[in-house]
Amino acid sequence: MDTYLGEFEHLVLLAVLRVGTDAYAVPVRAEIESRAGRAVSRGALYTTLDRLEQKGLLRSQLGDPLPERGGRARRYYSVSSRGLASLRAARESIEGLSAGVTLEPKQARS
Amino acid sequence: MGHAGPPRLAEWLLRRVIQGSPAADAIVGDLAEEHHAERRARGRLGAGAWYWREASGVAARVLVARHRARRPAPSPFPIPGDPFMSGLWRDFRLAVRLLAHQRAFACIVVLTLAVGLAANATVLALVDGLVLRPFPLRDIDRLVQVFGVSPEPGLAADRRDVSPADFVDFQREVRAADLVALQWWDATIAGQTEPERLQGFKVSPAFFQAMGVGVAMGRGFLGEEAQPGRDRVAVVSDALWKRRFGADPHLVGRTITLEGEPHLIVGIAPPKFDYPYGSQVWSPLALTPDALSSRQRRYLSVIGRLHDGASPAQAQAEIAATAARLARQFPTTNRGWTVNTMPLAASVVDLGAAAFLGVQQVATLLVLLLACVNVANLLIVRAADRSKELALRVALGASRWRVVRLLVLESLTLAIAGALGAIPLAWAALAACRAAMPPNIARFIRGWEEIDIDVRVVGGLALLAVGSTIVFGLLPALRASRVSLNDALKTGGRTGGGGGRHRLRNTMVVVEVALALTLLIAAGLSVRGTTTVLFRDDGYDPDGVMTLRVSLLGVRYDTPDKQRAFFESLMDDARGALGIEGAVLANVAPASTRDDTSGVEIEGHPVADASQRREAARRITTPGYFQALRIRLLDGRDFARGDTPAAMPVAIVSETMARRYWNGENPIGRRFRIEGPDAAWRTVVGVARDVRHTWFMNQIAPTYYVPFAQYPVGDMVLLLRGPGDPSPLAAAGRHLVLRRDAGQPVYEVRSLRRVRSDGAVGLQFAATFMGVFGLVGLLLAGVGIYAIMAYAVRQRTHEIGVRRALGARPREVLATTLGRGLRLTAIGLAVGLAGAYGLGSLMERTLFGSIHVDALTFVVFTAVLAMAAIVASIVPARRALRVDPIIALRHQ
Repeated sequence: MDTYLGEFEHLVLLAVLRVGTDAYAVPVRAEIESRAGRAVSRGALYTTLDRLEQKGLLRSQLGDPLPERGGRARRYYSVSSRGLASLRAARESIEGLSAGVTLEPKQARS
Repeated sequence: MGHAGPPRLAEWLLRRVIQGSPAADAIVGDLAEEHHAERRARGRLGAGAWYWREASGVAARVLVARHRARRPAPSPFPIPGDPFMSGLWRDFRLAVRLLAHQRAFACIVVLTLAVGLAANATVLALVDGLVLRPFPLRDIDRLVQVFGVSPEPGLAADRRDVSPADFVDFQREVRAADLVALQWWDATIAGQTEPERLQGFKVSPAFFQAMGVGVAMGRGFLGEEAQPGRDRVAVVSDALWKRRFGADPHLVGRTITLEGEPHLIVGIAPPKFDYPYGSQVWSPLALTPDALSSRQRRYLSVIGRLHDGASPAQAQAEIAATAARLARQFPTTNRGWTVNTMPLAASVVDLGAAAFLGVQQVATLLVLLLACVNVANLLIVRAADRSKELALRVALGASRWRVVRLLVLESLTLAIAGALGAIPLAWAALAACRAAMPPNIARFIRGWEEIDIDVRVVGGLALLAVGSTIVFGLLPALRASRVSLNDALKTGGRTGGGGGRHRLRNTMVVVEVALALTLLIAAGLSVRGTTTVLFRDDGYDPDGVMTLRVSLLGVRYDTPDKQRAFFESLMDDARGALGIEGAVLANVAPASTRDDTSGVEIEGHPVADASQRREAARRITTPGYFQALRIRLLDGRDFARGDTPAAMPVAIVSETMARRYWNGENPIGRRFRIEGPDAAWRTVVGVARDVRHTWFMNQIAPTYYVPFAQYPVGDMVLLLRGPGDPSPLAAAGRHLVLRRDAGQPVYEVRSLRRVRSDGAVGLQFAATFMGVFGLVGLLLAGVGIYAIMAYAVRQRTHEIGVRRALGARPREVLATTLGRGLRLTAIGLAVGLAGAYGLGSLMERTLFGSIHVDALTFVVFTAVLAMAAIVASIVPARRALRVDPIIALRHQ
């Protein structure tokens, strides 16, 4: 069964995918900010990552402790197969809905 | 460079908040990593600020998420509005409802708190008004007062005035401050309406600039007006301008008559400015060449405005250097004299006021503490009673936080009600304080007029209320919330707490008894001390005597002969007047705040140097003085009409003077001389009993009496004795004076009893305060002990039932029940006795020895409190006995 994705959850999952193997919170946040062009509060990101992991859409594993982090490890995230399924479902529903719909003139021009 | 990581406190707080979250470590690490980068971009401070902001953002987010996660699924019928607030509101209403159910409990708690807080608010208002901001002057921290320090120890030896010659030297040599001098000036204003006595001061021309106020209208004094003959100018106070001159806009430039001399009004002082001592009129201090050469007579107050950049210490050092030079240069007058420079704000605070208020504060804090202990007690008892209810709430799904919130809300409701109740109580107490303080004293108390419950006092009250809420609300709340559901439901409230709670309750009883005893004994000591001061035999009889002060105006009475003529004719009139049994004059009435002393030289007993100079109180009286005041003459005779200027100069001395200056030999027939212009040798013709002039003088000063006829002065007190109540004599005395001179003001009209009582007004205040506190303490302790004993008995009803059923006699049951309460009371009494001894000794030190730690007071009040404790314990114990064993056994 696919899990319904909230908008921000959707963005976070996509960003984790884009960043790839190095996906811990700091680059994930930077990715969303640069690609989606919106500010992301750290607190919101952490709680969303936590929630997505609880829903089983994300997996996480700890890296090695690093000195500039005060000897703490990074928590690297990767999208689980359920997560991929949810993303696919979301994309399908969006594509299905947008097919044949003319949007703004901006898109018409491009 | 030390620590390079994120701010430690912020990191620690963040860890505390988010611990338990699976990613906690990673989050802290991420922020540390980013902080590392920020540090390079923004520097240490910027990165620190950044870290604080981000860490708190993350913590808040995590908290909110956790709260949401824990909440049960949303109800299909949601409550509209913010769930947190509406829950709070619901709990608040629940708290009020629960309290309304136990009206007696709520009333006791609220009243207890109100009394405790009101006592504190009142004393806080007094402290605020008298000590913290005694009076409104701009830049008051730049003003210093310079006192002379006498080499002879004595009351306020370090707060003496300065002689004119010394002042001029100080003024010339001190660079750190502009110094101005002030001289007391009782000014009689005459003209248009009735003559009136004004409080005035002769001041250095720069006075108004130095005080930083200037004048509101007209001008201040000019430098050349500080010369005799050119000094007939005056500045009047705003209050006088409005009251006596109807705020006449053309008053400046007009001439008024002060002390019988025309004075040109050159200025009006700014509103509210009445420094010092409620001054109403100022005139230039014009020192005569004679005065300027005098170092012997010290009568100038000296105030300095520090120059920019100069410190009080610098001024003190400079003045001290000059004083040291003067002491070397003029050893006869200045040897041993030093100076004491202190901030004006500190110097205007009454010498005794700070210590006096300190004692009051200790006492009120004890009252508040007692109130809090009491309330905490009641709440603990109540919480224990409610353990079942609370357990049920938890069982039905209330979180611990909700239960604590309910309990805290209850306490807060009580605290708010208590604080609201305290405001009118404190207001009434302050109004009573103001009403009880005679105006003639109040004007000498800096800031007295300004005392009121203002924002600061209300703020202080609110702080106290919240503070005490935390103390007495949270403790029982935390305890109660830890109740185990199982235990509470199972045992039906009989145990429900275990040893810990018993220990806490026992401690409470001990603390309460100890505090109450301390307060009670302090109150007892105060009341006893004050009564002694007011009613002891001070060597004269203050009842039935009226006093009226008459100060003759300058021009018409400018010679001693004219003054003598006026007063002698006044005496002649008074002797024939109806209802007057004795009419006498004295320069100083006993027990008044004025005094008059002089140096004396004893014939045949020369002193080696100035530091051993002999001083004695000077009393100028008319014949009949000793009889009118019922002062016993121990030897010799009173003055007679024959002691005229032409006759041999005579004097009467007090027994102390006889003992000290004639080494106990009979002084009659011996001679002494008063230092000053009147250098005639006076023969002692009588010895009078000692009179204690002021209550705070531990030693009685040597005193001599001289006949007015031989030593006339213009400022005298008329003392009239009648057959009974002296109040009708006030009008009679006024009439006598006005018949001789309709332009002559009569003032300070008070019975001698009142003079004495006014003199000890501070002491009476202290005693009243302490008395009220003591009663409150007794009451609170009684209520507290009762509540705890009643609770303990109720807890043990089952046990008592078992013991009764097994054959225990009522007497035995009563003994064990009582025994526990009395044991605790005894411990409390022991602790309290120690506390009372401490506070008593403190009072003994600060209240000028009017209070003595005496064993009787300790014994009496210990017994009183023990009795109260026994009664408070017996009532619930007897009630337990009346219960039928069958019912007691069934008791849950």
